[in-house]
Amino acid sequence: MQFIYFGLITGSVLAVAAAGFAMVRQLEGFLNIAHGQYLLLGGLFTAGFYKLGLNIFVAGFLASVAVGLVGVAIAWMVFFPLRYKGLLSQFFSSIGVAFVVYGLVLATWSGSGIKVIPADFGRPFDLGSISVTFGELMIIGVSWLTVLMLHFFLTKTTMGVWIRAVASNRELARVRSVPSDIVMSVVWFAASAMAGLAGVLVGLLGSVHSELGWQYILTILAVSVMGGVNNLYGVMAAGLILGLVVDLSSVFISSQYGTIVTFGAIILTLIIRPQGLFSMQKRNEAGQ
Amino acid sequence: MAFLRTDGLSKRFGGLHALTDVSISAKEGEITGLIGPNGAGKTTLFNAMSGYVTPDTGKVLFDGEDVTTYKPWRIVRSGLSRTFQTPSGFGSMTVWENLMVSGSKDFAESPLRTLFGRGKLQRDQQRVSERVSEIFQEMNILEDLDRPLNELSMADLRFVEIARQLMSNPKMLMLDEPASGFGPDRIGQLGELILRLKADSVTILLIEHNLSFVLGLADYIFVLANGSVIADGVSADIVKNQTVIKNYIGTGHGSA
Amino acid sequence: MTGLIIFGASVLSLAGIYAILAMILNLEAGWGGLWDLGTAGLLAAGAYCYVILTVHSDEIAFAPQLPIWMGIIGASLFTGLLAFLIGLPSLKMRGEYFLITTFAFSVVVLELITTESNITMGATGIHDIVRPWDSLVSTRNYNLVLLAIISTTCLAVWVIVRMIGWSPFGRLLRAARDNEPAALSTGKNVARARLQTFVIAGLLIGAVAPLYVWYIRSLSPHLFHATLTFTVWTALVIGGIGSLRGPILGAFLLIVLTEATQFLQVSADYARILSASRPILVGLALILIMRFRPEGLLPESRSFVNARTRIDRKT
Repeated sequence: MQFIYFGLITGSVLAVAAAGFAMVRQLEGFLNIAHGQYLLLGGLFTAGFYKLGLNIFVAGFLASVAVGLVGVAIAWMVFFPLRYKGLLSQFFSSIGVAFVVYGLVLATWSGSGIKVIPADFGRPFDLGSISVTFGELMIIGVSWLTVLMLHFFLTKTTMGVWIRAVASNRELARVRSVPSDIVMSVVWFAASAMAGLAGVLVGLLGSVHSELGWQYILTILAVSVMGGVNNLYGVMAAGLILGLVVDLSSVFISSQYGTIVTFGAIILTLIIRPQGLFSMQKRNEAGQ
Repeated sequence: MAFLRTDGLSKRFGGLHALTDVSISAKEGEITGLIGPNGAGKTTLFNAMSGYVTPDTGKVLFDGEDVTTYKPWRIVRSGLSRTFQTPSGFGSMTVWENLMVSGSKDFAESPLRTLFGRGKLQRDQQRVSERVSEIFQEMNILEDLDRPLNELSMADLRFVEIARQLMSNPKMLMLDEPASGFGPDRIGQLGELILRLKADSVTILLIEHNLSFVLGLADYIFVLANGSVIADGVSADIVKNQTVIKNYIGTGHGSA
Repeated sequence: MTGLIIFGASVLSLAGIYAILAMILNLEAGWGGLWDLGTAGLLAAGAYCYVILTVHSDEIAFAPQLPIWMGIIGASLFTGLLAFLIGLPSLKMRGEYFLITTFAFSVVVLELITTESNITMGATGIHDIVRPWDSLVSTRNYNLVLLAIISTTCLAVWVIVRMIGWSPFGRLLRAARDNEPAALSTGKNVARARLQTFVIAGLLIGAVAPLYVWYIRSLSPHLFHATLTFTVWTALVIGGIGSLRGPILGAFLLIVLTEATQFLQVSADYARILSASRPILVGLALILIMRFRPEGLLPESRSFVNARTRIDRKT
């Protein structure tokens, strides 16, 4: 039971992390490898803002916004000009961006290899049969609040409707004079900010280390495929499920095999149901 | 004796019934035509017959063999070749390389032979290259084998595609809308080629929208609409068939 | 002066290793159209297999202490087999699914190496690895010996890859890459050819993995980080995917560029910034190439220009 709780935490954060990635994948069409590094930035900015004396909530919020802005800037500088050169160009460029961000982080990294965000959320207490901390509950809460806000945004606001229009048919949206560049900037902001937020949460759960970006991008990549390429909610659900699977499995298998379980699950999903767990596509249309 | 026959072929894609109980046949040595409005399922039928799509029910029999579940490459090796609606080719390579690909067999394409046994490989490739030149002369279409594919016109691409498929000496060739992209200046060449193939004992099945073209060439015709065969017969009968006129010719499709 | 030569030899050695890896990747990805992100994993498998087979150590559970040449063959076969096992399920998928699956397998391999520490010494690593002709030359001058070994291997790999590229098999791969349904329509068993390509890549990577081991002189999982795979890809993309000489050019440019920064003597404060400059340079190089010359420096078509004369002129 405790492990389901842990799985819920891990899964919730993964869902937020993967949601932004899936949005970019769906709207721009390519896999943004730099997304992982945006998590790193989120954690780093939070640690920085917190150290400056800001309240942890403010620090986290500001950090997410900051990463959102960085994401938009990078999109304008690197990805938008490559729009008509093909998805592979954008994919490889995203690898380049990941390297550059990673390098910049390494260059400006102060202090030891691991940064902990020393915010205190109180001691563990018992909720029924499980031991929880206020911090963990808050992380779960923030994650799902974000997901809900995203859903609300996509379904109830004008911008959200525009985004969904562009997602389903770019050419048509252009004809109907949906302002594509503005819409895409909002998408990038939202996606990157969510990555940043996920980074904040990861930092709060544990620590921020320099390899965080590379560590998470693989899981995010895999979760987004598992959830079904064109299905935002499927991806988030996949993130949650994966989190649960990994933490539950540690009941049976030694926890050092955690990563292997994660990727084993992913490989298995891809083999058995390559269009993703929640996709409506038929099998042989997948991967085209 | 039917050379190629389908028995009650059906295929659904989600809610769409692409093919319903389709049974057609092509007699050996003849030219058989397949016509029908857009979306009738003609290409799906081709795909089912050539292994690109597995039918839900029914059988495909070629030269006595049940090839229903064969993969595309295996069907080709049984002697049944096809072309595609848009002329297909290997864009990064020249015409010569395209034909060489088709002409080279397992013998030449084994990685082990590539690294060892190079003498035999060289001789094999020379033979294939000679055959490429032969076919090229016979078909008399282009001057230059070394042109990259992306420089060719639609018509030339089509001829190259057919030449490529002929490299494997197929017993039967299925052509999917070969005349598309052909102006009146070159369509005669295409017609002549098809007749020459028939004279060389290659059985032909062709899908075509250009009605005068196919009605003039085909020995027998099947008409497909909405995934079912609505009529079959010789050209003269088909043009008089009321069902056909109502479903297809009458709607102004496919005039020359 | 000799210090400069020794340093230069070391940089060229690393460039040579990346050139070899880029050529192999070119075979899979450039001609075969297989977007493989598992290079680091296969290299790790080959490296660890080689070391486990040849190392003299009491701490490792399984240490047959075979001679070097047997270790190389063993590593090659092992990695080839691993590629076969990974390829069977993975090759059923296309494009980005294949990408992710190979990436995932690569991570699993590395994780297994880390966790099964009784065979692999896990994160602690294996150190002081013996290299061929080690005892004959001083450690400083060994850099030159290593460069000679790597250069020879690089040449050998180039010859092999070129043979494959110019062969009907290579043509089949490119055809399948250009238009798979059309390739199938000419009777090609594309799936089998792709699996063969993947296994060949595995065999080659396994055979050259010892070079990397000799260069680094010790072994630990973090040396096979995903960034290694991405760096090989960057070298390939810069040099020109699909061209014969592209991978070599790309690898040399990239590695010389990034390692040249090491050459600058700076204080400890700046040392960290300097080592961080490597990923920044790799990243910038990739972004710039994608923006201004996405096909890479050397185009593919030039590598196949004489395909016909090579056959016909002998007639």
